[in-house]
Amino acid sequence: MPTFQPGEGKIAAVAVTVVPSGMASQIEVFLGPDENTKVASGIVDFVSNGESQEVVVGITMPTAPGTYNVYLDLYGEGSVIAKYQAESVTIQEMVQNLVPYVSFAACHWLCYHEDRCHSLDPPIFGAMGLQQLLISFENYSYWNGEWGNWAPIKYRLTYDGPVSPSSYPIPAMGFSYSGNAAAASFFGYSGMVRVECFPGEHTTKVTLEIFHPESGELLKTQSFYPDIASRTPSDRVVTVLDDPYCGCDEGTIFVADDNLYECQGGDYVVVFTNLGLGVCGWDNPDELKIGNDGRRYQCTQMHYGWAWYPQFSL
Amino acid sequence: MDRQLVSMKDPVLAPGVAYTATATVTMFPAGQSCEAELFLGESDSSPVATSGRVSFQSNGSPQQVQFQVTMPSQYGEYHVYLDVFMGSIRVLAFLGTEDVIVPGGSVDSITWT
Repeated sequence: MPTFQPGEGKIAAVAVTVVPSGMASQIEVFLGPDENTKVASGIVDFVSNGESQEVVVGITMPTAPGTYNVYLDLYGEGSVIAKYQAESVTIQEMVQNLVPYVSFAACHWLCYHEDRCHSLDPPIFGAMGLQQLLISFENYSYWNGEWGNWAPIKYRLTYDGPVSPSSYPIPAMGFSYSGNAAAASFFGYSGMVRVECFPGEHTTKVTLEIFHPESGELLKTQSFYPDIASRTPSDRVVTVLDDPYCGCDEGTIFVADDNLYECQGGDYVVVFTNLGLGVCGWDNPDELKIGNDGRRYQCTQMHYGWAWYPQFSL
Repeated sequence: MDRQLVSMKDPVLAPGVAYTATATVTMFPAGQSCEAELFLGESDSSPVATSGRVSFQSNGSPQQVQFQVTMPSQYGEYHVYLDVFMGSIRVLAFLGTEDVIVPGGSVDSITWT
């Protein structure tokens, strides 16, 4: 029995003979529980040639799973001249067709160990030489039959080097399971992984693996080799890679007279930058004004690593 | 009796389907019991579908007589005959100007791609 996906477009090639030749003819292929209930149909006009000829009928399969009878009605000059019932077809349950597109866009150390990074003042997280790794990646997936929905994923972070047992990866990803809601899609475009290391530790290689949320299949893996020596405090000037988001829902960002971006009605600004997802004003409203010189934003109090914790973990 | 030609339209009719043919007949004299039969066949001696005899009363002027005929189930091109009787005497015999075409068709296979 032919088995199709719900809503799938199919072609039925029908070998048909209609006499006499030269007659305006039609063939209709339709699916249904009975011949009086059409749930999917395709009909094609053709001119008979008096002998066997192939007629191609396009038909979109029903979306509801189940087994359907297949009927063929043959018309000559508008009148039914033959009726057939073909082998039934089965419409499968919708397959959650996960094809994540995960690109790893950036990898940055935002802060170093105290002995290498003390020029950064203040440390972004805590005072113990906390080391933070941000890996930006996109999770643009084919999910539930269309591109653009955010698929849930699982991930695992491992890293090499003399990292003490007290160090551990802290997942801090902005994945959303809710589709294309405004806020969800904003944060869904990037994910971050934060690694905290305590003084005296360092990591030379970080590997991020993305897994299918249901099957557990490894979908993508990529390793990063953070170049910790290239960092300078100037990295605190970040480049905005996406429109800033002004929270909460009522907030809007506009350009004020002094060419500063301000967030009105919102409590904080979130930006997706070359350093990953950052937030201004989350704890302190004075941080909200962000200098702007075209595509470059400056925020002396931008906090990175601010994100949602994931819904899935290994 | 030679058959006369009578004009006819809609020659393509579906197999196995009953159709109503309406013929305009003028019979003299008025007030006579008449019958008419419309039938299909390769010749008037081998009908393959017929309305049977339909009774009507002549009125001396054109009148419409209806015949219900179920088309043959087989493909073919069939002559159409109309006989009119007054009493037991066949007084008129007609042949349609066009044959009825009963189309045929068959589906040999269906392939999904």
